[in-house]
Amino acid sequence: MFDTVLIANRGEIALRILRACRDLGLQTVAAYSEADASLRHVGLADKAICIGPAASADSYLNVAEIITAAQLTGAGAIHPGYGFLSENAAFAEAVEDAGLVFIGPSAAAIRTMGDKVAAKRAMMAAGVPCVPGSEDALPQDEQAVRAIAQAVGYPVIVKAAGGGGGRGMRIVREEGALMEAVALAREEAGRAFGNPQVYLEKFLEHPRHVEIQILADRHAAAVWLGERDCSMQRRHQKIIEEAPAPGIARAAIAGIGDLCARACVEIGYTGAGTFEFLYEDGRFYFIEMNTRVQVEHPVTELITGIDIVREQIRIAQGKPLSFKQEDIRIEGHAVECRINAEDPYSFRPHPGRVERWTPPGGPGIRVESHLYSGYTVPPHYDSLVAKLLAHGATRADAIRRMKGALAEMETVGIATNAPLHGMLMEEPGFAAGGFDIHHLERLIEGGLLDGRAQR
Amino acid sequence: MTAEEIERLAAWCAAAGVGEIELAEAGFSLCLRIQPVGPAPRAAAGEAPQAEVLKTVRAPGVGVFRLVHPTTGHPVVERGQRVRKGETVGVLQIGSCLKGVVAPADGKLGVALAEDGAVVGYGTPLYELL
Repeated sequence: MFDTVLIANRGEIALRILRACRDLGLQTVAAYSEADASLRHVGLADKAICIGPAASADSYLNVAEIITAAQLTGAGAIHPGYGFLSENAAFAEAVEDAGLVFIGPSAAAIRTMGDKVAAKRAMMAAGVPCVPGSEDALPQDEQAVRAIAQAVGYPVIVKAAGGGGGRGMRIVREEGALMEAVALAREEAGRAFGNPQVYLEKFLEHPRHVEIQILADRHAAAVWLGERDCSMQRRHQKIIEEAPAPGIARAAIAGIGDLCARACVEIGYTGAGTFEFLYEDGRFYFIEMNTRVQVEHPVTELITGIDIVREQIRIAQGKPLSFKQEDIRIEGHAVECRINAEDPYSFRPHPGRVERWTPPGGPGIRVESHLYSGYTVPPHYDSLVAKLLAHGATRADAIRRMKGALAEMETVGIATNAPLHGMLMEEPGFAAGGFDIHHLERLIEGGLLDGRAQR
Repeated sequence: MTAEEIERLAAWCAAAGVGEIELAEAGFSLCLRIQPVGPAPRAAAGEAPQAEVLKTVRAPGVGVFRLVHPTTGHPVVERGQRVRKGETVGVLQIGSCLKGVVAPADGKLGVALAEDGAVVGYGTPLYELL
C-alpha cells in the first residue's frame, strides 16, 4: 500500500490534505504551479515539484505532468482535492492505469454520477427521490404532454434537452399555458442549440439546498454523516454553510441519509461523497452527487468529530470504516463562512499581497487557510483564501462565536468578503434560519449593499 | 456587457498584469488598454544588474534530467559550448520517452545547475546561459 501521497491541488485544501496525511504517517509531495511556489503546503511537504505555468490548464489540469510527477517522486497515490481534476473520470482512470491509487471513487462511479441523466436514473433505481418530470424528451402528442404535466403537478419548468443557460426554459403555472410554452421552448431550443427537444420537470419555487455527506469503504460498508444546509448562495456559489439544517426533523434526515448510504453500496461508490438535494415543503429532491471531498466538509467534521479527509485516505488504502452508523453522534451546531479575496460589495476579485494575517481563535473556532503574513494571493485561481468555522452547543452559540471571529480576523493588504458575512450574521432571515437558495440575491436586489460599494 | 462587467474585467486584467485585451461578440467589440500604475511589473525586475548570467536554461516540464544522452551515452552538450536559440542543450527522460531541453536564447553554456539523474520540475534551472 502507498506510503506517499501527491497533492494535486492548491490553497487551503492542499494544506488540509497535507495535515491528514501527516496524521496518518504518510509522506507528501506538493505538485504546484509556477505561481504557487510560495504556498504554505509547498513549504511543508516532504517533497515539492513544479508541474507547469500559472494557467490551470497547463498545471493543475495537466494529467500527464501530474502522473509523471507522482511516478518520479515515488508517490503511490494522488489526492485531487476539490475542483480541478477531482471529478474527472478520465483522470481517475489514467491514475489507475499508471498503477497509482486515486484517492476517490472509481472512474466508473465518477462517470455515472457526472452524467446528469445517468445519475438521475441510478438514483431513481436506488429509491432516492428526484425532481419529478418527464423521463425523456416530451412527445409530439398534446394529450400525452398534458398528462405528463398533470402527473408531475404544476408549476412545471420546460427545459431544452440540449442546452442550459436559461435559454429554451419556460415556467408554466397552469395547464392553459402549457402547450404554448412547450412550442416556444422547442422553437427557442431549436434555434439556440440545434435540438428542439424539450423535457419537463416540477418547478420548485422556494427550495433550500440540503446535502448529505457520505463515506463508503471498499468492503460494501457505507455511512452518512448528517446533512449540511448550503442555501446561502450568490450566483449558485455557496458562501455560508451550516449543520444541522434548521427546522428539518431528524427522522426525515435519517430517512434520506439511509437511502444515500444504501445507494452508495448499490452503485459501488467508494470514498467521500455528497448527495445534493433541493428541499421544499418537507420533501427532498436529488439534484446531483459530488464525487469528491467538498469545500464545506469541516462543518460536518465539527458536529461529528470525524476527520473526513483522513477517512477518505484510509478508504483508498483499502481499510474498512472504523465506525458504524450507530456510532455517529451529532453534537451542537456548526457554521462556515467562506472568506474570498474580493470586494465585499462589488464582488470584484482582489488578489494581492497580504501584509498581515491574523486568524481568529478561541473555543469552538476553526480556521482553514493557507494565508500567512507576506503571502501574495495570485490572480489566477479561485478567490477562496480562508474558511472560518464556528461550533457551539446551539445555532445561536455558533453564530455568536462566528460574529466574534469575523471581527477578530485581520487581512491587511487584500479586501475580503468578511464585512458581508458580518452583515449576514445580523440579518433577520439568516438569524431565523431555513431560508431558500434565493435569499441572498433577494437581499441584494432589495438594497442590502446599496451605498456601500467602494469606488 | 454592462459597465460593471467591464470594470471587473479591467480590474482582473490589471491584477494579472495583462496590458491589452480585445473582445468581440456579434454586434459588440471591446478593447481595453491598461496603463500600469505604481511599480512596473516583472519585466523591469529582470533587468537588475546581475553579473553576466543573462538567462537560465529551464526544464520544460517534469522529468529526469540527463546530462549524458541515454541512447548515445555521450554528453548532450559541453560546458562553454556556444548555442543558438532553440538548440537542444539537454534531455529530460520521462519513462521511456525523451524530451529535448532547448536554449531560450543564443549564448554560451555555463555550469549545469542540476545533476545527471535529478528529478526536475517545470522551470527548474538546468544551466546558466552566459
